[in-house]
Amino acid sequence: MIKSKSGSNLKGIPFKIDDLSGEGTILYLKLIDDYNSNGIGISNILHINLEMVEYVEFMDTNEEVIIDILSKRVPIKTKVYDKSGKFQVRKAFKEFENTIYKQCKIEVCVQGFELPEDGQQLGRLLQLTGTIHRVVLDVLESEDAQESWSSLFKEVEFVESSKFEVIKKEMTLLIHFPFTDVKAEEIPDELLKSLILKVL
Amino acid sequence: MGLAERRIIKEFQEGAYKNLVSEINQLIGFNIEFDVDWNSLMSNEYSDIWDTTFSKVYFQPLLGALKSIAEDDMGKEALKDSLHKIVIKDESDNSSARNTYKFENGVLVIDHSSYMNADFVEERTGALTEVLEKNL
Repeated sequence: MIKSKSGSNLKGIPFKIDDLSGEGTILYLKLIDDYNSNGIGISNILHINLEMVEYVEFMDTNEEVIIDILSKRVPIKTKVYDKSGKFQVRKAFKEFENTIYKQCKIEVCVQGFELPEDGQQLGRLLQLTGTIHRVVLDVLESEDAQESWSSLFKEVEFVESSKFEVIKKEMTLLIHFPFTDVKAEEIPDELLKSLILKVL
Repeated sequence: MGLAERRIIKEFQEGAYKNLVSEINQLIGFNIEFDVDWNSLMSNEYSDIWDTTFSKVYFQPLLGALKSIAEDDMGKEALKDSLHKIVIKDESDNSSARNTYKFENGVLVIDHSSYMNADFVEERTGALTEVLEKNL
């Protein structure tokens, strides 16, 4: 399936592989769309340098499942989280509170949503807690940030969400993030820092 | 297994073992079920050192790990919610701390040789603490 920038979906039928001098080995795909499923009438040919193809998925089009993958043995980087327990996460929340109090004399209660049972999801949450902990401490290094924080927040709450948002709600700093989605990106430190600074 | 070995085990069961279990229960704040496979623990010829090695191999690391977790109410609660039983055995003649502890469905299984590497208490304590923290 090839998706064009304009939003249409096309299928590509490989019909030729050829060596072009100076350009490497090129795979030629004949493009067909939903209206021309037999390929007749479409003259668009997609040229792809084989060097650019990382892997090929063989799919069962009826079941829409992957049957096999032919790859160049370049590992596809998906992060695998260590398994953790709920106790470790709760302990990390506690450490977060204690460190902020110790370093900034600010009492803050760190709250989470109902913790998942899955060890990898807990592992991700544990890691993200560490990131947020680090960024908050970084923000609170300056005196004006500490003053502002003290007057605005008593709690930090992690909210499971598909979006990344930092919101002030009453005396709580809400951090919305896909905390348990092990395939999602992690929190970018700098962006989190700037979002916290915005609500301070 | 001769009478001499059975007497050593009985003495351990009625003395040190009772005290250790009581100490553990007190530490974690509730009574935990123990299932000790005594026959497997006796499956070697070193009965003259069992009275010290049983403690060092199985109970001292357990006490150390539980102590670090149960230092506050949060840890005690986590133990109460998730740890239901402790099984002690010497089934595979294992002497590596890393392979000693398994935790599944609330059951902590300790499988270690009852006499080998007995002095590696600290190593086993660390490995057990890690296993417990990951599973509570």
